[in-house]
Amino acid sequence: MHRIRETLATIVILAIAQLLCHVGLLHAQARNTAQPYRTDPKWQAVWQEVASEAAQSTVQIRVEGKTVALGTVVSADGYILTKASEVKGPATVVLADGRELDARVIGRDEAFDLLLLRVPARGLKPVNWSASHSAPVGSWVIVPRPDGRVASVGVVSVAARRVPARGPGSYPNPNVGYLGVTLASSEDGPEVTSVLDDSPAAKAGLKPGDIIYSLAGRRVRNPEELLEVLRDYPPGETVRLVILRDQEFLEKRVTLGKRPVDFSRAEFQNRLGSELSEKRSGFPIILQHDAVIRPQDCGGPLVNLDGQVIGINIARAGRSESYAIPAEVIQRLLPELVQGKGVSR
Amino acid sequence: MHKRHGWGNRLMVWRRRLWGLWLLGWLLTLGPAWTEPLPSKPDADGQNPAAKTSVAQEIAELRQVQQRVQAVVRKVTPAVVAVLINPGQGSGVVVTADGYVLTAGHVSGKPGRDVVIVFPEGKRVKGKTLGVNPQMDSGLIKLEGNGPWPHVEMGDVTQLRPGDWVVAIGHPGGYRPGRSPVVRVGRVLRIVQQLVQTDCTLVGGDSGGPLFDLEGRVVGIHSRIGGDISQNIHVPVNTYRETWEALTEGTIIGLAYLGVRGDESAEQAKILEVDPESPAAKAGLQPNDVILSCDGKKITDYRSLRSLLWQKRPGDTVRLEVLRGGERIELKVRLGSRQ
Repeated sequence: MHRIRETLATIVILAIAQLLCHVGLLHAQARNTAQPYRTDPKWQAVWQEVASEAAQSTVQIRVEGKTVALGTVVSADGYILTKASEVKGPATVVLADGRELDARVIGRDEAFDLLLLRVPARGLKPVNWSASHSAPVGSWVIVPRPDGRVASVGVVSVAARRVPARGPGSYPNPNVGYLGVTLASSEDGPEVTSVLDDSPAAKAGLKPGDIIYSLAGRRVRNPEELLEVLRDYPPGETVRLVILRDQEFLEKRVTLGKRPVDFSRAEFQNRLGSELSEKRSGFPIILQHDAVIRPQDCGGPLVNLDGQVIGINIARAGRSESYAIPAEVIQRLLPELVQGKGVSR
Repeated sequence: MHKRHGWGNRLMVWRRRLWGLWLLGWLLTLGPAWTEPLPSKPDADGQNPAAKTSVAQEIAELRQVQQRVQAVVRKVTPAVVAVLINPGQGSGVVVTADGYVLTAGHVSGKPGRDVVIVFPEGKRVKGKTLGVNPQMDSGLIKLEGNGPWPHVEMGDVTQLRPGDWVVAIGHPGGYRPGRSPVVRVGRVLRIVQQLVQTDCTLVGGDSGGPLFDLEGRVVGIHSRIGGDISQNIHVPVNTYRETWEALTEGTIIGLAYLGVRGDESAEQAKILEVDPESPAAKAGLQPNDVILSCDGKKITDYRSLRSLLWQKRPGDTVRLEVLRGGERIELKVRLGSRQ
């Protein structure tokens, strides 16, 4: 009896000590540090409340019993959109109410990486679309899960934009011609402001101050036009370059090189702290946001602070970027997908 | 994001300093849930009425933050630039009408380099790198040509508190024609030695880009990242203001050498070690000396001594007021060079 009382007393004292300690430290913590907002419990109920309706239109896509993506219910009679490249076999769909149904592939859009599935169900709750401009840059976005919790939250980073497969705005491509200069706009045309040592431009004798007049016979008026022309020539190709130096035209021949990007480092950094989607580039139109999602969180809705769906998540593309296909694009694509686009019968 | 000296080294130093805090932070997040108020009785539809009102209030709060972030983005984006330095790329922000651009020290590198600055609508302007502070990772660039350039106001890191919302803008992955500067939102997680850590997710190419408070004032410059998604470090804007003259004159800051080490966390500038043969040793400085002022300017701690020395050049003579064993003495030191 005595022992038990002693032990109890010790436990109580320890508990009180721990309590005081925690309270003190919590105060200290409140003063000196804050939690990352995406995982702060304070906001979870709020994000969940905002996205609760969209969560009811969110489903899980399974292949061989494993969840590979989320899906977005687009009609009451069983049409569901998801990320095509994540679905590598016959799929089942787990609805918000827990039913797991076999899915039939109805349509596919390769460029946008979208797959339209159909499950034998009625009375489903389709998403409430809103054009993506209803959430301008800086607007909150929420990625709901079917269980009502949120996968992540963030803001719109770049408004919906068209990204040509090749051309301005696309990713630096290591397989296009490279000169090794920096360029500034000037009245006469693109002006060389620096020449990298040992670069193709250096070997051809280009100097800072040169104005590039034409490349491979094509007149270029600004840096963008020059980059445009370079995209048509692969590394190793020799092209004619006409430059303007001290008011005189000079002709040079330059053998284009390969862009010396330290891909290992860029790639390493891009992957720090998050796993990326296998297919994460080449979409013709994207909305960029900074919610930290996993590849298997793609295919589901992206929700604004009014609970409306402004797009479907299509890729985790980097440490700071996630992509969604804007709602207005999806609404335009849907009729063709329902008609069986991209699927042979 | 460090390109030349690699963010690894600096990150290690930062991490070592922060390790204790980190661990504490993580331990505490696993702390007791019972400090939360107990839920009251659910109402008829199974919801908690008190929780409902608080959710409504918090949605209103988020809506307010959203409006302010959108306003900041509209106001500041014209002044956020890409910095092209062959063969590297980074970001920056214009802070004066005549074209001074704040960037990271590891983006601008040595003074006097040619750079091209790209404005959001695609206009490319030539510039030159000016001063740099490798220890703080701050750097300055001047645009050529006549302004006035779109620019933003410089804020004050000491006004920031953990939990404050902030907006990070830059060019992650490098400049892409047709893509507007990329916006990310987060909160100040902690501030140590004026370095700001946020959960605004950054990546290579963002280096040198601005961090804004919700008034649209630049408070930090993106510097480096760690392994976790919430380890994003920004140089405090205050260091640019404190070393403005040296930066605009194109100085490599931190070359002036005194030869002492002190306790960074102490509340006074107490000397712990004096390098043998150093300018400090030659002038007679000793361990346990407390430095009270330098050239008449009050020194409050070791950090303030260091940032004052950043404004000096090798060869400059400084007058130190020193407290030694209760007595005030004055010493003159001719600064050496670290190179």
